[in-house]
Amino acid sequence: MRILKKLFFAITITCIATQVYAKEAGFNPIKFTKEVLDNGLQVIYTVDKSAPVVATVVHYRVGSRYEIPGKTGYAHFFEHLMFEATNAYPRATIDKYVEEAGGNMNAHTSNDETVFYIKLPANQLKLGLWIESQRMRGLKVDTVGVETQRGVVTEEMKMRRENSAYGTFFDKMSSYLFKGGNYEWTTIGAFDDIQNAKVSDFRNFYDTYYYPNNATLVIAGDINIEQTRQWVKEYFGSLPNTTIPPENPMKIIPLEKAIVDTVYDEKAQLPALFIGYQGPSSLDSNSYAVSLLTSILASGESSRMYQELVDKKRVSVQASVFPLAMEKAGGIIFIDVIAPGKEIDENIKEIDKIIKKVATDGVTPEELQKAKNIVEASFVGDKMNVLSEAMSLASYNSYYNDPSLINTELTKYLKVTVEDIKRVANQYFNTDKRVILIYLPKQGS
Amino acid sequence: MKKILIGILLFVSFYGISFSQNIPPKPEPLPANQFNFPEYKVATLSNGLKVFLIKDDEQPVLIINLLIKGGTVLDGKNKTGATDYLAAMLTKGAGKRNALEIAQTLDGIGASVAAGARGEYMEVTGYSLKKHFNIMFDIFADVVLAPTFPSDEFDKLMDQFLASVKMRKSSSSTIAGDMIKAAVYGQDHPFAQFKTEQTLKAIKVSDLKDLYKNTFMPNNATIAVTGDFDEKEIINILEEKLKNWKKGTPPNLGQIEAKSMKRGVYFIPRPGSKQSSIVISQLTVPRNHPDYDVLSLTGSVMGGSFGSKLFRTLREKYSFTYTPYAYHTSSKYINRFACGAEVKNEKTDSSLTIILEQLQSLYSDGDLSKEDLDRIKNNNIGSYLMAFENSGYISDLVQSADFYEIPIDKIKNYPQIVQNITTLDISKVAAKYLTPEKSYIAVVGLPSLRDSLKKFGPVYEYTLDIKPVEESKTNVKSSGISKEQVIEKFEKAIGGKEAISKVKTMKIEGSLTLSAQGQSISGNVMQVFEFPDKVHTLTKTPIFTNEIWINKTLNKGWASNGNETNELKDDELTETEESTKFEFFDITQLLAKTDYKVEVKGEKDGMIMLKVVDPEENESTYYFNKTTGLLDKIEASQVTEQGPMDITMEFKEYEDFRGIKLPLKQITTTPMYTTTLDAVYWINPDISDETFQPK
Repeated sequence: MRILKKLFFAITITCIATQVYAKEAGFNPIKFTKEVLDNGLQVIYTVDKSAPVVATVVHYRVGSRYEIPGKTGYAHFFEHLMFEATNAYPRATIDKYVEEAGGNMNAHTSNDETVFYIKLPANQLKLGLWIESQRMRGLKVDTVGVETQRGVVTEEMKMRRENSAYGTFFDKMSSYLFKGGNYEWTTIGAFDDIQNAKVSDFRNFYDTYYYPNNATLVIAGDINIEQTRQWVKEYFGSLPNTTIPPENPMKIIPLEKAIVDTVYDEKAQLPALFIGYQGPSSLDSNSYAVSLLTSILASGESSRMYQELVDKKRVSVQASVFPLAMEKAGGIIFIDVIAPGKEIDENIKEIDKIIKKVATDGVTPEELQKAKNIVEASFVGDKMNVLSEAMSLASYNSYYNDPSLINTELTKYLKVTVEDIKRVANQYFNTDKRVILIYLPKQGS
Repeated sequence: MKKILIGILLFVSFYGISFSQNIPPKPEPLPANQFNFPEYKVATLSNGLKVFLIKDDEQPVLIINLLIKGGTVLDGKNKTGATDYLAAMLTKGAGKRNALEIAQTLDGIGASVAAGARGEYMEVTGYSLKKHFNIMFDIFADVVLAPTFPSDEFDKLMDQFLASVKMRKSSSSTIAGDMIKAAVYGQDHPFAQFKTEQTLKAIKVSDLKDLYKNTFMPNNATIAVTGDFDEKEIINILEEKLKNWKKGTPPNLGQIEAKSMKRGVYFIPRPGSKQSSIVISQLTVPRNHPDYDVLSLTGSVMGGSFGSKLFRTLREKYSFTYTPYAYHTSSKYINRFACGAEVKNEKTDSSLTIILEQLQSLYSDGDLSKEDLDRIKNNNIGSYLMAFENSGYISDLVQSADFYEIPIDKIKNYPQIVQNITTLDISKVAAKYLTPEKSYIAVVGLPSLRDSLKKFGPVYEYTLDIKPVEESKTNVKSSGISKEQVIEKFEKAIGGKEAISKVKTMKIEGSLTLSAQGQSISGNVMQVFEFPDKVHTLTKTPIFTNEIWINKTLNKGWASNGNETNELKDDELTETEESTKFEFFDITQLLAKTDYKVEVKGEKDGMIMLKVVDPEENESTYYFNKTTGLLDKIEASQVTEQGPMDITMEFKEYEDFRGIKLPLKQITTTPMYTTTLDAVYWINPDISDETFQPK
């Protein structure tokens, strides 16, 4: 449940049309208020009275890249542990409190962040604030909670790595693409690290990162801001702050040659190909062009990759590409599930041809416009839901220190030109410096 | 020493006090926010279509929803699935666009048009940014007014529908659900129908066209527009685009009375079940009945959330299940109450007892406290309010109130209506509708459970296809022949004891075709036997290779995928030995296996049926041709990770190979795939001993 689904969101972007309709972007901007409490907690309020609903989001600046080798998987472990007991309530109760109120709650972890969210009927807002404030500093990091969640996380590791086809590709890809940097390991972490972790290790992690001055709290929905500020002060104001240790610089070793690795996979029914390039980080202005480019390449049945590989040549069963834009580094990853009886080398050649064509000839204005239309529709759609509003505000604040990007980021996409697309294609798709993972079905007994 | 101790005590108590002062208690909910149900307008187009206009300026987007009266209730018993099929076909070609063009145009503007069928109505929903509304609505109007029903898309969808019903038997909760509906509503009632391969295959394009013609008319529909629009402008657009939509004679959607089956326990034995699916259900009242709202809340009291009775007992107190549930259905004319769960095999009867007790506790011992009921009410009201986040929800409420003929004030005042329901109200309806005398029970689980169910009433046994076992037996005649005679006849038919005993080695070579989800691959198969101890098999396809060696003289076995070879150990070895045996000669040994249960089931369609149950309770039926004595097919239920799965193996085109009759063709069908093996046989070839172990 509490799993990062970012990767899969990226894979399932919707289709592109043949016809193009370019009109001016238009939507109602989101108004918000930001304050910083004395203890450093950054709080953003936004009123949305379209339904009697409220969402709280707490975004902690701690993800797997804050971990150290030998102690990986801790950030993700806390995504689970934060549902355990605090000094204020026993274990296995907060799910019930929230559900009894008619609401729901969840969390996710990535390389850069751990985010907790609760959605409630507006008259239950205090319940959400109470839970978030209590687990921000009052979590019981004890044997019962740790051992329960160790069991759950161990199952999750098995499910993701061993019981799903190509389950290790993301670990392998990250280890090659981001060698030398803390993106080398994925959020779920190393099996042994989680098995060997002591309660005191987790306690230390909690006491390093789970503090108000390392978090952004967003409250969105049918609220009265003045009243809500009072409650926030009441619940969060007295929490202590701390000195957050400085981040280690991210020193990723640039790829110097093409790396090819073959993996035999018992769960795979068909061979598959994963090709990774080093790409722009989410803070790099090139990330907008790269995001649109990947949409043109592989979103939907009219995309270039679907048309060439799946429809015309029939060498692939599924062909997609997604940008992996993180705070300090990025990648671009192609996924190609090979059709029965087809040769892997043939597919690599076909994909390279598609990439070469974009790098040489660029894309058409129509293709670019379609990609922009899709971004725009989802940009507007996200503003009709208090939870997605709150999540966007939290991450714009956390990464860019600029929550107003919720209203302005779209223009950065709309400014991308066909020349930009061609430029980034040439800049990042260097076939001599990439990672190719080949997964072959392994037939057991 | 004493001083230090006191010091620590002081510190501890001080710390304790200050700590408890810092922990605020769980906050109580505030009074529900004043929420004004959005204003909306009703208009009627010149063609008679009723329009609801719901203005919502939050963002420049528009949602349009068409409700067509008449849903899966119109399918008819023999073509169940037709309405679902119609809905799926609407967006697969309309006006001048084909399916791909529709999808591409919509995707390119980040818009959608989708159609779906429910029990009593169908819906078509469109969504787009305001600035793209005209393009989206152009397609929407085509989908509603001019669907083209292209036959290639019809065929593609048929494959998908067929694939989906194949999985039905792997879900025991679905089977239990189908069973209970048949029991409560009667087997012929529209609400008791479910899609099968047969009902789907009976559906033709012309049926969908007829269904479309009989339901899609403006005077059998309502439309709701939600979002940022100008009223006059939107009415003009609707008038203009829908002007060619003409009135007709709406379908008859009157009430169909339930013809409940006999009260009792409807039991579907399912060998290999890991859990039992249990349901207890009672027939209740129509949507507009005064007791309806109380029954719905009673559903939440029994099993809607963590605070409900079944969660607290079945799940938390006894741990018999993780997922108990209860609900009241919400149809127009006829409804039922249901409680159920997936429970541990050995706790099947105990779980039924607990559910019945909990139902009785609603009216007999006043054990539902006001606090508990308040918690459940909070949950229900909270969920109702939360749903307004979803922009389609208001039109949903408004259109369904119109469809169900419920005054809109009742919908608007839902929180108040729920708030006013008391524990006494609940005990009254429970005493009226939910007593054991009014309850039907359905159980899907291990055959051995049968006797334990008798205490709940007469037990009626049904098949996985919801057919009474008595009925399915009617085609079966008593054969008047013993199991020994069947096996003996088979042995003679394939060549006789002596000929078989002379077969020392055998080699099978053949080509294999594996088809799944419309794709197929071919490969080669080779099998070599040295009876009774040694086997070597090799299967090669473009996507996988599988090689097995069994050598019982060495008591060893190996398996390989073409790259790596592993030795088989323990269970793996035993299982692989069992699965690589030569089926035909193995049958002649069937009666010698003391841990197998074998009996003659009877005769059907010129075949003698032999039922075989292995030590793991896997059941197979062998069909022997009555005239020739040869084996025609085996139907088996095999336990897999996905639950029990039905497998059929057919044997065709028997030929004589040096005095032994063997089938040239073997077809294996499972819910997931079909394999066809075309094989030839060599009797007593020379085989080197090296064959039976990896190089």
